[in-house]
Amino acid sequence: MEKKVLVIGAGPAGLSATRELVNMDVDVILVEREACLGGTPKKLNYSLLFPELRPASEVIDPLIKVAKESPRVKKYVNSIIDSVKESEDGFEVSIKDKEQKVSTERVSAIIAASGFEHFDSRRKYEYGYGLIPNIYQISDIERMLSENKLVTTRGVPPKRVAILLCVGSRDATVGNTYCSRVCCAVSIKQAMEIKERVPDAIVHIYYMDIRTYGLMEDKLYWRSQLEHRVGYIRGRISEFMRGPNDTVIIKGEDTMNLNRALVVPYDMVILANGMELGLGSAQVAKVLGLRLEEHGFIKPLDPDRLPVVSQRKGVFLAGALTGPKTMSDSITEGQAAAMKAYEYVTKGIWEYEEIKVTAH
Amino acid sequence: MEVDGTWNAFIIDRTQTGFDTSVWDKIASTVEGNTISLCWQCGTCTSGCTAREYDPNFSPRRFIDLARKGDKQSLQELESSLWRCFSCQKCTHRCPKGVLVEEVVHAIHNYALEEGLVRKDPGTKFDELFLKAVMDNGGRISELLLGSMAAKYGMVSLSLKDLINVSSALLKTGLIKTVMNPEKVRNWEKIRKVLENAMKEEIKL
Repeated sequence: MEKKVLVIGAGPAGLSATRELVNMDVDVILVEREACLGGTPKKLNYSLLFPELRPASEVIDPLIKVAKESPRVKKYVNSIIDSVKESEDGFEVSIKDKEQKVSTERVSAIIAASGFEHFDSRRKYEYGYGLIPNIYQISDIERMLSENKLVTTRGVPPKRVAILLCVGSRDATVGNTYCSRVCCAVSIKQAMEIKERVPDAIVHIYYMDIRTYGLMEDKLYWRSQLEHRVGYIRGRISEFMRGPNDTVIIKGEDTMNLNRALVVPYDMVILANGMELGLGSAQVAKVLGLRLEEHGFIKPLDPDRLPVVSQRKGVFLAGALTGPKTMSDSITEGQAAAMKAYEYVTKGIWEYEEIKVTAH
Repeated sequence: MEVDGTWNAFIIDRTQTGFDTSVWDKIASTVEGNTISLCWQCGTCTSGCTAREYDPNFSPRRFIDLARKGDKQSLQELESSLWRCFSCQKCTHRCPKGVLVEEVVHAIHNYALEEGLVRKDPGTKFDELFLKAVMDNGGRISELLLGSMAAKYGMVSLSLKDLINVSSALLKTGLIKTVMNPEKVRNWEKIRKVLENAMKEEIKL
């Protein structure tokens, strides 16, 4: 079959779409902005995945292997989509690499799976990220955990750790009014990992609501308290100060005990930064001419009926570029988008937004 | 549900009856307090609050919670804290939901004053004295007048030593003239009428 599909982004969503298309004997052009395949989980070297606490590489490596070894996959790394033109039987795509070299490919359909970016906590200046030592983001801690280098700037493992949830999510001051869905689970998972490595550490999670939805409730929220003695303090920290010996002093309120103002020192503070569309996906949306929804993510044709179909004919969506998603959700969407793309390139099936009601 | 009522024979009734649900509506309908409904009780405002450093009972989050529940009793108990806001605006600036916290706290305080839940606090009293001193003196502040008015209310805490220090500095610089004979605004009687009308309108708001 000479039909080709372009997959933008080689993260969990893009790679699972690639694998499904290869299994159905469709040729795939895979474009990735970074030098290696695997997306954000690989780039930031994620440690364990919630809720099963299995290594992220166990999930992502088999997908990378398929993309690397299959003769049906043509890979462009260090490359971005420069322009997309409609041709008679699909799209004519020009792909630009880091040296500005442009290659042109003709494809029948496009799957955009360019994902998200972690919120940059420097935008919440009162949290002092990047200014005060020993303040990290969950996206930094993943690498420290997987490389087994969980130490403070003084070179010793932290004895007192605070985790602050909802940094850059559910916050009108930075314009993100949505919940990023995964940060609660990731933070609790990290708290449990820290307690496993440093058993005498004290870990406090400062939260407003704990959203370990669905099957994660007992595996994370309950287990972290039953087995690991992770402390939960309801109240949002409003500022951090630099303390003696590279400690961080937080100012908070324990909203469950009404008159308790908190000024507490910690060895390490972790900010649970949320998800945003990011510049990469914004560029993809611009080139493909896709519209954004009110939270800044890409708008599917119908979020309920057609979540992986875009507003442009022949373009499909998968993964966190339509909203915050877990890795398993992204893999599911990659598979769904592959199915939709396969239907489209083989049978020409394209559903429109309007639901046509036929009389019996 | 307990069917036979055995336990009720000696358990003290815990039903809350004192909550006035109109408090929320009333505060939300004021110009200052209309963002009260956005609050979700995260505690950002109280964590960084300047006034809380000096008064552990000062908690904007709690004031908002009590006002929304209509717990007048608890607001009354917070009489000596409710007015202590410094208006530093840290809370308003940081609130993740866009509640104008400083204004809402003042709206709650104003409500408590209007309803007679709290006595007039020293802050409001001083504001009134200041305004009265300005109006009586012809549009400009007179330190002597204000000082004597405040002293009547027991607000002056200057010692004799302080007074001597202050007046010697005033004598040296020659500023004593302005203190003894403060300036007045030209055409004061005309402006006074305008101001008084404006103040009446403000009270209506």
